[in-house]
Amino acid sequence: MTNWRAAVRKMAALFRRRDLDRQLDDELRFHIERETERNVGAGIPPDEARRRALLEFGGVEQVKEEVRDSERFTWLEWLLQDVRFALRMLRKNPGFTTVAIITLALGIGANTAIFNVVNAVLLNRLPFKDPDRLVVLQEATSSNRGFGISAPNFEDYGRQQTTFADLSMWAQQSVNLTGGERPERVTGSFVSANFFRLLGVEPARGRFFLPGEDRPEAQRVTIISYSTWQTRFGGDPNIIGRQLILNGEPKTVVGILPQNFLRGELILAETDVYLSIRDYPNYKDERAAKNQLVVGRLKPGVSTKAAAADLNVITQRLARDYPDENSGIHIELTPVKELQVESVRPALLILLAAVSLVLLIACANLANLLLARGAARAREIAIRSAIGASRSRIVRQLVSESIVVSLLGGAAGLFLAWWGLEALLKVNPVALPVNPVGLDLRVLLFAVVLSISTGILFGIVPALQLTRTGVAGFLSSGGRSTSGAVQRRIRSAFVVCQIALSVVLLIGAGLLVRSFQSLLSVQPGFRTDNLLTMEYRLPRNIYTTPEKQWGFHRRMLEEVRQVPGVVAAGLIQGLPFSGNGGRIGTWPAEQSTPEKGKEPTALSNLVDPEYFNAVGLPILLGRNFNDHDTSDAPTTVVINQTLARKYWPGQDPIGRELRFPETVVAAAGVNRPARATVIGVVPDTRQFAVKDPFEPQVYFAYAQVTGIFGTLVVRTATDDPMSLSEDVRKAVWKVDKDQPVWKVRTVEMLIERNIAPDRFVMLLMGLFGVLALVLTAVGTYGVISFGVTQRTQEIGVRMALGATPGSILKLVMNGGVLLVGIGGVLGLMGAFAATRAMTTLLFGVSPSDPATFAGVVIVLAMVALFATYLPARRATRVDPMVALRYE
Amino acid sequence: MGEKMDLLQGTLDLLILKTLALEDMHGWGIAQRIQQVSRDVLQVQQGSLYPALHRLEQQGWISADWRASENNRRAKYYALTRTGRRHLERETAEWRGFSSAVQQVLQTS
Repeated sequence: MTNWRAAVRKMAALFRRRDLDRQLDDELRFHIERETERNVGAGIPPDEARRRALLEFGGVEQVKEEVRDSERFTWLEWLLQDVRFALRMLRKNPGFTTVAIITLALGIGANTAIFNVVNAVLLNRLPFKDPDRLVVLQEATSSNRGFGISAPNFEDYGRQQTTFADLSMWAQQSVNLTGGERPERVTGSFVSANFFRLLGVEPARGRFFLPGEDRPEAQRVTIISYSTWQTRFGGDPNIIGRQLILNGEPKTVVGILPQNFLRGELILAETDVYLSIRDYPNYKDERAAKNQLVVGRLKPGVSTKAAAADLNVITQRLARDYPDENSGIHIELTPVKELQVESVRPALLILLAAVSLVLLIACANLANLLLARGAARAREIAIRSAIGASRSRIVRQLVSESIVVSLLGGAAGLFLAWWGLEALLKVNPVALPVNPVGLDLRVLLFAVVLSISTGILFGIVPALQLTRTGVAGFLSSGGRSTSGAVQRRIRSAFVVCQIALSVVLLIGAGLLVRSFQSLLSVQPGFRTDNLLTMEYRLPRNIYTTPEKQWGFHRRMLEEVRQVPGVVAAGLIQGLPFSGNGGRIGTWPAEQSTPEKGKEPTALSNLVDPEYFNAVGLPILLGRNFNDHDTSDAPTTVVINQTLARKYWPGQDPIGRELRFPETVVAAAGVNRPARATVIGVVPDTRQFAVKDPFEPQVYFAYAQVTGIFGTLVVRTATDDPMSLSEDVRKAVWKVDKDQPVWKVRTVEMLIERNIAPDRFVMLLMGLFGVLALVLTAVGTYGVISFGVTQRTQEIGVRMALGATPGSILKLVMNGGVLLVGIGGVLGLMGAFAATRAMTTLLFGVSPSDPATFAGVVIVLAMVALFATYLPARRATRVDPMVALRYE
Repeated sequence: MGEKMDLLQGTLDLLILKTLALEDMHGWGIAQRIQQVSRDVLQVQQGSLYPALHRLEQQGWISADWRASENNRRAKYYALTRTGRRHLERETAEWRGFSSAVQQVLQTS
């Protein structure tokens, strides 16, 4: 152990220069003093004594230089020597080197790839000043999380709060851009004038909003994003001062956002244009219009909890002063950082854990490989020891070999990671929050550090093992290692670990596969084939009245139905799986009015009468909307089965009444009626994700409760709905040539987008599982095979004494079975504990699903036993005569 | 000239190890002992002891730590390590073998 201390000290010498210099100083001073004392004791006067002592010593500075030189020079020299020697050894053993580099490339490459994504998604800082201080504010009730905040409430919060340095409103919506060849839609964000100052960003060009530019009378300006400037406007150098027609109104471009602002988007959609919050179509100066989000910058040193407490005092005041709009409200604060990554964090962490297991398994293989090779190198090691190399020196050189090959494998792995991730994303495109396929310095550093650590990890045990016996031991045993038993146990231990880790990994992968299978088998609730969809939003300043709005919807649908190839066309506000959708509080009329803020909620939607037919939803009870359900007639609604079962279980819901909160303003900015009659029941559909459970849902008719936003749904005769998109668009423009439509896609594409992330994770885990299985099989084969080679003599003796091939087979395989058994049991125990962490990723299958556990055990056992069987069969073919002569 | 230096260095190393084989000692003490033992025949500047000590320490044959010396001052004490002891035994055996071989040669001639 003292040797190790010296080795470590040498490494540390580089960093502890000053400390070591001081120590050397002290040491030499001590020497001179003692020598001086001795001289004084011999009767020489003090001055002379010291002079003689110095003379006797020689040049003190010279000595110091020599010592320092020897330390520094030796360390560097040894490092270079080690590296050169390592490269030479690797070249002399191409077989081992190739296997090692491939194994390491796979292991380190996979880890680097995952870390690349983790780095881009979880670790990178947002391009704002002090992003940890930024939070998003939302109002919520106990039954409905996540309202926006109304403008009057926002004013009150701003005036009365003490914990925030600044607050700003923010809303996002698509914006019509006209005046060009064809009407277009861009993503718009509507913000208060202090928004960018709050975030702490500087414009790349021009300026941001001036204070007060969000007041009604202010000049309307817009700020565009960097990529919009580049791609849509070709990087026009004269863009500042240009006018764009947004939502029908001219706006002057006054500034451009910096290039890296994309990463800071608070929602995953990139914003093309920023406008004043007053331009937000849903903006109302009413307390009930809870349409905006609020971003805030906490004062330094204030915690989120303290801010929430302060704000909730204000909400109580608001609830007291304005009970209609604000009862039961409390404030929810979410740090901006968490918004982006919450959904992907569990999957990424699990992938990171899985890929680390693969690397560990690979390390075990390499360690065993080194131990096996050790027998061949024992002679070389003994000679070096005899020449005088200390054990730590030899160990260090052996570990250097491992590190060098590991770095080479890591370099190959880096390429693999970069190429592999791109390939995987092409096969299974997934919307990751940031483009992860670039190379970051941190990722490079990670790969280097991981390579070195891996080299040390798999190199250290074999190195220590191989240098255990000295020269004497080597000579006396005639070249065979006397610590064979210890080595065999170490190798077996490695294999057991490999098997256990593989079991855990394979069970994880298996669970994800089954989870994905159940995801695929989920019925969305309606016919999803041959459906073309597109969205549009009518500008409020043109379509000012509900009549005009419904007029457009109706005429547009008529035109679209004329297009050849269109089987049916309908309109819905929030199409399932589009990401759109809203909720509304509602309860049966016969029940007493629930407490404000605690109303039960249902999904709420707007449809035209043809919608249900277009998506293949039959009317199960009652009737569909028809021409009688106009804006003059009493409001009618169609509900889904879950709502019917919830409010009127076992009874007929037709004719019953639903009540809605008086002053809630729904997302489209239109007041919902206070009560409505149920006229029909349709089957359940899922609204946001395939994984969602069925929720109660209520449908209103566009003719009665109109809105400016619509999703056109067209069932086409052809299998390729997209081929009709241009004709359908032209039909829309026949009604209004300036009305853009966007998000043209099929429903199948939407569902695919919904499940793509799950498939992505499953594919990766499956890949890791297969990798682990292959590595373990190879490792098991290697160890058993090596054992057979080592025991050739023993086997020969047994056969000479009359043992049958069958008994030899059993002898060898018993060893293998034992390893597989122990590893398997450990793996199962580990899996029970580990899969608990995966619960968030699983759908329709429990983390301790017995079928998966059993399946994996069977597969692994078969593979491992086959890996054992091959060398065992070789053992039975041993010729006793040859074996006995084997030395 | 280079050879003589190597020989000197090797001998110095051995002397240091031999001294420490008896007891742990600081640099000055080792210098005194060597002077005593060689009866001042070996003219080695005391300073050259220290590069040798540090080299031996790096090679792992001796170890060092700071202790209180005989007169309670702090000094750097050196001790022989296990590998150092083994190295010493090997070298001594070699030397004895060499010197006895030389003696034999001298006797027979």
